[in-house]
Amino acid sequence: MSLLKIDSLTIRAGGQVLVKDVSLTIEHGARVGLIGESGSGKSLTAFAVVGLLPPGLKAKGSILLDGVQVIGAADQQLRPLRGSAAAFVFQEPLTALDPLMKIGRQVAEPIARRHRREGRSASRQEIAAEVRHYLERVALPDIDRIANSYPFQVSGGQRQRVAIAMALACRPKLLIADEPTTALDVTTQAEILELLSTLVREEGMALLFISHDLPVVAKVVEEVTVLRRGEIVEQGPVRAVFSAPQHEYTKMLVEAAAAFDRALGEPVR
Amino acid sequence: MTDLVELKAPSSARRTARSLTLAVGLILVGLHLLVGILTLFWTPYDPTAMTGGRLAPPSWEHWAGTDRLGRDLFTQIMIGSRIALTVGAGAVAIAALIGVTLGVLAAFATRTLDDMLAATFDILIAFPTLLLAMLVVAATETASLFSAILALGIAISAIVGRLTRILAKRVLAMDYITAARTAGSSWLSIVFRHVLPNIWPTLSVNFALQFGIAIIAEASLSYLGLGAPPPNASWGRLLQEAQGTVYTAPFGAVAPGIALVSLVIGMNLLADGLRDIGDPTRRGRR
Repeated sequence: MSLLKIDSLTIRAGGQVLVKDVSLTIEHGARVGLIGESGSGKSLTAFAVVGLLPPGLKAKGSILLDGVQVIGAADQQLRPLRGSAAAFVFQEPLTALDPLMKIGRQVAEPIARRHRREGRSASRQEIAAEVRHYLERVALPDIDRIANSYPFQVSGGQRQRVAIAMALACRPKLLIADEPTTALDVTTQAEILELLSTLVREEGMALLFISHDLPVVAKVVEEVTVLRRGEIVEQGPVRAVFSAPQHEYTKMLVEAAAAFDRALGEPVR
Repeated sequence: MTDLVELKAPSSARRTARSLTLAVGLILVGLHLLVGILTLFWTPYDPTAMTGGRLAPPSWEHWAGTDRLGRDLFTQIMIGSRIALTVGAGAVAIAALIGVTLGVLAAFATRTLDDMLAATFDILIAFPTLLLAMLVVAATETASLFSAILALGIAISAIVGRLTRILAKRVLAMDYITAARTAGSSWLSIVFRHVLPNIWPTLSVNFALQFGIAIIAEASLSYLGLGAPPPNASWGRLLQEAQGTVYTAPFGAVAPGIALVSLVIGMNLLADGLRDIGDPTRRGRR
């Protein structure tokens, strides 16, 4: 059974169609990219997967996450899926962390929740040890200081590592990364990408990587789905799609990325 | 080294000014608190005993003089501290309980319920606090210390409720709430772990301000005869009793006035100082 099977998903806001007839399958341990420009419905599709669409939006079709039908399910039924079946990493690491909670406590929360779900209470020491483990896992330096800091006291790249640690701490089967590198500078971006692909491989998680940035997506995923205005324009293995794009829109994206590379390569006159 | 010290100098001076605000506030409120607690065990004179000449001016025996029945005013003012603090704390506690609960509920509620609660807050706020409190006292029929506390608590709860609703809505729109939801947090845990801690800095400042307002309102209620009845020496009642003799014995009105103003100013300074303590992002900065 596939980990995630989206079948002809349509999302409407009133009369407006935001996502139209999207189908997407993710197997256990697979790495899939979802690309498209702003407003193409990438993030909406991701939120629909855990049943957290903004109020006023209606989803139709079928989403099977870890064998559970998400569309039409009650919040109560979906809550146990969130975190354990799928966990998120967001674009803006500053706002995705609670500004008034120390980092150590924020990482401890998903850990404590996981233990509660598994029906056993963990001691303070056990949880603290796990917090250290996950902060080490995302290669943060000076863990004791960082665990004791507030989010505004650490750098942007470190915050994103914390956010990744929080997602990992849920031990999800699917990690959904929604533009996780967009808010970071280029060097940090490369480090975070490297970290994400290593972690996904080592922990055996599946990855849904959402981005508007072709070269970034190409680095971490095996398969790619290209969305435009809520519709799928192209879908397939990442090499095939990028080396021989079929659809005009994909061609344009590939060409734009290539032009950008050329521009960077040219000497400054 | 010297450069570093010079660069740091202005900010630390400002910080000292801020902690001075907090310190003065704490001293004023603390003084009233100590006096209030002391009156539970000891007062200079029996507050109801006639211990000197009528309307005596301040002297070594009677620091604030005596009232028209010859009772020691300083003793009554000390007891007034206790009454004022009791009413302030009680009213803010009731207002916090009702206001924060309804405010958070409104922030989470469906559109209709939210609109209804918001409209209720606005209508209640449209009434002056004192008028609303008088209505509640009138409804309880017998004026007592408790009816005054309840009245002020209900009157203030609308202000707290409206503030809580707005603050909670702003927090709920933040990414970290979405992040917590995608990780499987329940609404209840979101309220207690994220919403309340994040609105607390602003809310606590408001509580301290409302505390001051409640004290003034209680004095007004007592002045009108709607507050705590006679054995309780409320500052408002002392002011009212001194009204008739204000030309012959002005200190009878001045003394409770000073007590009232010092506590309210202390409360406001405390509110100002609290703002910096509650918010770690402001600590060290500013």
